Amino acid sequence: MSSATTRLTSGALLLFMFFCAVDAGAIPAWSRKYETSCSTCHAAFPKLNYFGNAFRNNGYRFPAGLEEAATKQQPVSLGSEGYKKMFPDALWPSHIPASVPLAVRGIMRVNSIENTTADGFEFPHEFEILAGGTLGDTFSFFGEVEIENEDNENEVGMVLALQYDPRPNLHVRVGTIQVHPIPDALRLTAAHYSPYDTRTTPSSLTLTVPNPNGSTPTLAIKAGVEEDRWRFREDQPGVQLWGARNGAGGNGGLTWALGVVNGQGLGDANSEKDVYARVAYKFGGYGEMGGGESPQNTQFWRDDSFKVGLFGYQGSSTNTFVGSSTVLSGAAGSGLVQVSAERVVDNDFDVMGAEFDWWFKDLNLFGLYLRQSDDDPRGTGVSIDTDAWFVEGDYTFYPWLIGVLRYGETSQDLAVGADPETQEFLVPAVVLVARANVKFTLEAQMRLDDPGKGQDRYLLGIDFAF
Amino acid sequence: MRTMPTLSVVALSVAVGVPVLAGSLAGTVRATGLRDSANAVVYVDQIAGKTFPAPQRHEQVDQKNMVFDPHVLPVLVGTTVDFLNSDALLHNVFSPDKCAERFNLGSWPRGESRSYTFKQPCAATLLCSVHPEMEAFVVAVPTPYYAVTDKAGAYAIKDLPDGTYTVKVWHPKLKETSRAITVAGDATADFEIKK
Repeated sequence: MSSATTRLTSGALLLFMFFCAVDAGAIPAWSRKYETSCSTCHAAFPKLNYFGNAFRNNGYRFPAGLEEAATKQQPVSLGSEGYKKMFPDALWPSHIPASVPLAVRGIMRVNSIENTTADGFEFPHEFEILAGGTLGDTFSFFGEVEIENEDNENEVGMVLALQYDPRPNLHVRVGTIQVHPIPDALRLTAAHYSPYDTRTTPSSLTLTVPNPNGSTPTLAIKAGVEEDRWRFREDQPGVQLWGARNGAGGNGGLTWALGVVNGQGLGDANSEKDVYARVAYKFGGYGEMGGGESPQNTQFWRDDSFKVGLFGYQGSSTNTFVGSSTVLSGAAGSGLVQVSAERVVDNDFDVMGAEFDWWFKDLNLFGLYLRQSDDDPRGTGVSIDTDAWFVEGDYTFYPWLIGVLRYGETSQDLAVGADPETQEFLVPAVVLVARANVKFTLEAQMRLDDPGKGQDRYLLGIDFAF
Repeated sequence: MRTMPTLSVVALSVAVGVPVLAGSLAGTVRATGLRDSANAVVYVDQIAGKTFPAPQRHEQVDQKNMVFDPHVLPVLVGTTVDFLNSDALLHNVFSPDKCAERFNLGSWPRGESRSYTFKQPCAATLLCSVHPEMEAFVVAVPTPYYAVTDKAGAYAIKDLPDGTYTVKVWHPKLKETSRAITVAGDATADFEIKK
């Protein structure tokens, strides 16, 4: 294996370790802490309901100052409150969870992919160890280590964030950040939200270098990308300032976030930092911070409300394409020589978009539109604009039976590979919540555009947590 | 606005040489946002023109199984509190509060106790420098009319002469509240305290 290939492989593995991890929301550690069901916070795990959002917006604490009253496992004190009076001559008091705040989530799949032989059991697909909790009144944390099957190889991913919560409605999160507005990790399907999946940077370029033996003027060498290619759905290392507040009468309200992130990789791919912002307002329903009036329909999956938001992201990506080829040397008797090629592609881009989230009785309809504008993602001097959107409807027939239908389109003004300019995605699914922490999902992942046909995927997902 | 107590009934009783009528004040304190409503101190605030001699009897706070017991101890100003160590390890008692002169009694072994006299009204935090998680409170109040709530928030102040008083409620974690209460025989008053 060449050194370039080794670097590519190890780099890809490291990047995968980070980027395949997801900030899952299903944390049975919190069920133990509060001795409450998963459905307190989840319409169907990992999708959050109104209370789960308020819990998150309060820094992983119960809303309306009820954290202490709701906590059944009293935390272990690392210093009593009185030590605040001693500061700076004493450590500021804190606490740790009474039991190790760990939880386990397992995901298994049965796959059937059209026109391939890659059918069968994928047991397990993913094994996650999740952690979440509070460290005293003003710090909280979230972490995850996951092992995931990726083409019959076990890959490791991780998430870690420490959050400073100076006020219930104001937070500074340092660590793994989700920059996109609708959390991809909290989706009900195996299929990702299609607008988040789009990459404008190719996985390889064909580079030309002088031919050492002169048989042809140049050699064409296929060069793979050494850095991770930017994609909206990836978690990123960074710092995020964010918060929320209730609207009038304690209903609905505002959520907002400002952040600075690497853009690419745990150690970043360039010296530039990416920045983003998002803001959303929820009309009606349970308060974003909680504590107001109860929802109109007292069911854990209902919250009659309408939310609309805007977001923007500005970034710079740097991708190094590296490849090599072995050819005959031009000098007599010199034999074979290895010829390498490398190109660094710098690209500035921005993403702008809008989201909505409508809850009405047993229906939840939500979606997102975004436009991504890349200056030069392929090193060809050609810019690319990408328009992508999706809409998903989740209908709760029973609290244990949910129908999901998602449609999305991704359009680029320059074709990528064999794909057309517009890709159309359809994801129908049926979610059976057998228990609050055991779930089965029947799902189809379909492409409706002509070049995408014949690649449909059908799967049964088995998901449980404890 | 602070309400001054009215002692007309008391004054009249003293003037005519008959025993002062004494009743009680009881009720419930609801501590919003906490698991229970224990450890609130309900007490009658300073009564104009009235002073109470410091009691001779000492009160006691034990340190046992690395916990202060009781967690909240109300006392009359001037009371001496003995701090006993019942654990087989060293303990310390100190207070960071100025109203308790930021006393530090040092460390002492099992079976021994050290004392401090609370000379002025004070909600004194008690800490142990050896075990930072330990915490308790001595609440020194200006009258001998006080009680501590149980988990249900119930309290009862007995032998309280009839009159109108400013009754205060103090809690380690919640904001203090106060109200004018008229006592004539057995009176009741409920309170709600929150952050």
